Amino acid sequence: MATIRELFHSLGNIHNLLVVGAGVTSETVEECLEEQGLSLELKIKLSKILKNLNGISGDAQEADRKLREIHDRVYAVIDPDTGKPK
Amino acid sequence: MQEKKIKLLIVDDEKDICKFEKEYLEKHNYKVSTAETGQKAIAISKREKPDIALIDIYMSKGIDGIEILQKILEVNPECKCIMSSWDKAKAIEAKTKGAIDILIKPAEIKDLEKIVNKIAAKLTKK
Repeated sequence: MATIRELFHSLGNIHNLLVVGAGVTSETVEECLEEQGLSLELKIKLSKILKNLNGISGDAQEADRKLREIHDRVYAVIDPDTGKPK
Repeated sequence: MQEKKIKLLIVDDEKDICKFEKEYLEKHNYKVSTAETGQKAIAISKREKPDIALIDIYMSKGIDGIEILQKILEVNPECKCIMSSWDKAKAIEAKTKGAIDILIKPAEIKDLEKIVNKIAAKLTKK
């Protein structure tokens, strides 16, 4: 069974992956938007994808702020390696 | 004459992070190697002498990022090391062990790029 420390680390990693992944993917979408000859419809769709990716990144960062709050409260009372009360 | 690319080593136990960061930084003209373990990171440091290393502090297997930092600096003292961590206190501690900058996770890829570019600019001025 994973320790509390490992669980927090794992969840933090997932948030990081979402933020980094969204950022890298956004750049690819931005490159597509710079292509010549795109239809207006396609530009609108790509812009929507970009907006959604920014939203995902923001949501992941917000989730991480909540995770930090939980982390601080849990670590104050529980040993994160043994799972036992301090 | 082709300008020599700055060599970057990404050390992170999360392979998808390595993949994303490599993809992005290579597009931005860096030569990037990745390592998911400390052992591999040190081997790459000896062989390739990266100019910059981005090291995750919490590694799920093997030695932790602080020890990786110290061993990288032993085999490649010129390497500019950036420590990344979810734990800000640990990241700050790493600066006392030789890291020159820190990146707190979750970090936007453009923030990583800014830090790397700043270091690279100083290296290319030399």
